[in-house]
Amino acid sequence: MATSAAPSRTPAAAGDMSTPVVPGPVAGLVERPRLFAALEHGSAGPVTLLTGPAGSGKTMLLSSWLRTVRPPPAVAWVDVERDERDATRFWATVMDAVRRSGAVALDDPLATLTPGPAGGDEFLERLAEGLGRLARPMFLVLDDLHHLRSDDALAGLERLLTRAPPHLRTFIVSRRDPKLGLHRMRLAGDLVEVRGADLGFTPEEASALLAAAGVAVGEDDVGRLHERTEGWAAGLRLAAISLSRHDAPGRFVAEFSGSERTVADYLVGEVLASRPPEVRRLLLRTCILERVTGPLADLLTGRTGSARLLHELEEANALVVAVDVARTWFRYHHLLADLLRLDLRLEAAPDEVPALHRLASGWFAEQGHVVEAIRHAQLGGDADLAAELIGRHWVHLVLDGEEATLGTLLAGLPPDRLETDAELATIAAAARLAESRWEQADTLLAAAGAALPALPDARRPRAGTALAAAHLMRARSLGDMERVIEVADAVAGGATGIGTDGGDVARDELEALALMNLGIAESWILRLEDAEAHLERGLALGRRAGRAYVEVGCLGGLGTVANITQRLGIAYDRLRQAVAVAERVGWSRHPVVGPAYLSLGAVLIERGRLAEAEGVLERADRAMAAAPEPAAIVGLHHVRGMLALAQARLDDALASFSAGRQLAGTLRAPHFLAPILRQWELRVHLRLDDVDAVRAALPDVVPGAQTSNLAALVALADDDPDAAAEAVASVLAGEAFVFHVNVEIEALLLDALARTALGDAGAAYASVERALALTEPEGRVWLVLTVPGARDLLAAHPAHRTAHAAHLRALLDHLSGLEPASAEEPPAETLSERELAVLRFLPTNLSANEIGGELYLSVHTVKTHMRRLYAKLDVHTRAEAVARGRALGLLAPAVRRG
Amino acid sequence: MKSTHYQITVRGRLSDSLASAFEGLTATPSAAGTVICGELPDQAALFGVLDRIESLGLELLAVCRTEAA
Repeated sequence: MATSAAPSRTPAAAGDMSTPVVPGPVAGLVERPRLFAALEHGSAGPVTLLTGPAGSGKTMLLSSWLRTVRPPPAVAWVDVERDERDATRFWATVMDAVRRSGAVALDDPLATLTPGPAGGDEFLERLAEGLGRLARPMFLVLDDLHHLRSDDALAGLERLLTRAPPHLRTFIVSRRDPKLGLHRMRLAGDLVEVRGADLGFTPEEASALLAAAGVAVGEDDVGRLHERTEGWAAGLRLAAISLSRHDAPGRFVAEFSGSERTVADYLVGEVLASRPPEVRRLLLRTCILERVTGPLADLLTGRTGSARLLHELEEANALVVAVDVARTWFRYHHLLADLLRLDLRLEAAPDEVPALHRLASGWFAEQGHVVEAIRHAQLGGDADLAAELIGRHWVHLVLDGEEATLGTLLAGLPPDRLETDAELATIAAAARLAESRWEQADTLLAAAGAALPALPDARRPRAGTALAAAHLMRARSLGDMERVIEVADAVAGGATGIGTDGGDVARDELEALALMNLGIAESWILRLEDAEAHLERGLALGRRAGRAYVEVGCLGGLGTVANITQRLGIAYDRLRQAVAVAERVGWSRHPVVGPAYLSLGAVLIERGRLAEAEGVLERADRAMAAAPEPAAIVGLHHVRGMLALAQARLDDALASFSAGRQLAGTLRAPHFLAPILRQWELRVHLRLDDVDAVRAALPDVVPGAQTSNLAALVALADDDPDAAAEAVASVLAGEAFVFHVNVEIEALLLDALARTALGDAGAAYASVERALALTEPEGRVWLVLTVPGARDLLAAHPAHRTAHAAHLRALLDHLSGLEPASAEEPPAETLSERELAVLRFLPTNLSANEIGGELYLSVHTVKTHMRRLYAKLDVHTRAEAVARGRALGLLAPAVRRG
Repeated sequence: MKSTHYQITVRGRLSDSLASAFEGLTATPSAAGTVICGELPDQAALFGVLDRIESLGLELLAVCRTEAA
């Protein structure tokens, strides 16, 4: 089965990316100077509104005018899908159109911006910013906007229009006035309107239309046609089609004028009667489609040559409109399609229409157009096929953030199927989880679990994987550790189907999603090796399927595991990659990137880069606010506490550690950070001189190396260095389990403090040297900042006798509150020679084309290198690339001009 | 639930195929055009009918709520 990883939503996306798409025939256009002038006037301002009933010629007017605009403008033409209820899907079609308009450079952030799952606000801001950067006007056409039924999408559109990017010219084509706050623009004079009454043809225009269609009729007949159709565009066009083939035009006009039937109905009947039978068959049997292409029409008519007929129909008149530049996909005028469907229903045998839908469903499925395949299966009454297709492809929709579409498709199934079919119940649950509707999800998950054994053998493995994936989504979102342990055990025992090679893209995506959630959850229960293995595999599958969502989640998880397992360099690289991928697609505020920011903050704090960490933690806050996961929030409190402690904001530190510990206690199973948070809480109490309270709490703290250190801290506060040295002795002798290198560093510093107080300079020197040896390799700073007295201790350390002189100096700077200016880190990936060569040309004024000339590369190759090097440098614009290249020493410093 | 009787008038005479778009309702020619009438369970159903009228390019002349006969 040929499923592409990212099925294009509109066929034109596969076509020529640089040619503007304006639908409609090239031939038979009518110049309508008065309306063209209105559009011209509208195109000077932000918004033009074209409203009028079906068939009033809105689209035709706009497309014929656009063809006359010189120089040809960049046009982003959006055909809003019938009954569109999914905001994400709507914005995805807008982005496709914007990219096809030719106004967006390959290296512009708009080229990769994606409306993510539940990430609306940031997407809209980036879109508005991107459109604000346009160097020349872009005409954004929203055709059939009345089909848009999503309040979210309309609200977003209103915000975009209110922002009014200077070069954006929006044309709204709708049967009804859309809810977009247009009255304010009208009052401000920012809105140009072409309404139903304006759209009606004047007798002169009707005459021109008939002439353009090659119809020769007398002035009287034109007058009668105009009167009968009341200038209605669709009526005149339909009449022109019939007249062009009629041997007695006068009689046709007379009969039409004498008929009491409605205009459209009469004329469509005439048009159909005047056409050869094969055209009639084609129109009737393909009118069930929202869009049609030659091979599909061949299948539905059982004849060959449909592509030629469609071309002829398109060239001859306005019955059929091409929707892509290559003219391979067409759609019927909505009014015509609706009338044809009524005829088909009357003429066809009862089971014929469903059979057509099922044929179409199979064809769309084969071509990878999943949503259309499922819709036609449902219209064809084949609930089994629809269920199978949903089971195979639902992960696409969830990963694309199209839960609303998935919900609509599920709602189109017979209601009892959701309760009795384990796989469908699971999918419905996943859709609810994605919308944070926990209770409904739980009910559905319970039903799925109960119904799973009843599923046929052939369907059970995939359903089992889906169920495990949904449970993991839920457990992760709610911090349900018990369930995580259960599912992790089941995966290890091979009971879920996760980890068995699926080998098709749909399975891969499901598995990638499950592995991402599993790995992240496993890291919370410290099954770190399993977590790493699962996240690596999820990352590979996610990359293969082109899923940024999974990539960001897995990289963030891997970075977090690397941080916990004390490999700061690897952690830093992976977390930076996670952030870079998220920013590339415009999801830097999406919940999926939250944990990556959080761990990146932790790594920066460990290295003493506190100011940078502050910014990163703010981003973590913002990303996590949209979908707060309790286990991740515990982590956020921990890292905020670390930061506050390093900055000696003791009250803030205490508040953060306490809040984290209390939240960790409310989770179903203990969070690994809970005891660690308690330790830090007590250390802050000591710093606040609350020694008695800590002494009283000590017996209740879980024993271990960290508790021994805490006892030493209490002893030092009591001026009892003997007891302090004794307390840490077991840690230093390697007798106590040391979870983290920071515990050993702390023990060594406390030992050195105790030895100094006891007058044993030699032992103190040795312990400090050992502590420096542990902190230096990864540039650890943070723990040293937390130990009271560390500054004096290190200041007294003989600089001429240490093996770590530079590191010691750096630590002393940090302890004096002198944070080294944020050292530029080398990029996560190194640049290739070619990329470096291209980078060196970026400070110049040369275009990509000219750089290609200098380097003997094609412009395409230069742009590919630019894209790669931007990604590696984590930048979006040429100017940023130059700045970062300079900071990294890859480019010579800028010459300052006096 | 109590349904309500509606009379919806559109311009022009409807062919059989057009009339078939309004299942469960009757379409009767009248002086003004065609009167589509029948029982509708609620406003949602009414708007469904109006939607169909719009998409078929019919001109809506009047909508009346009448007492059920």
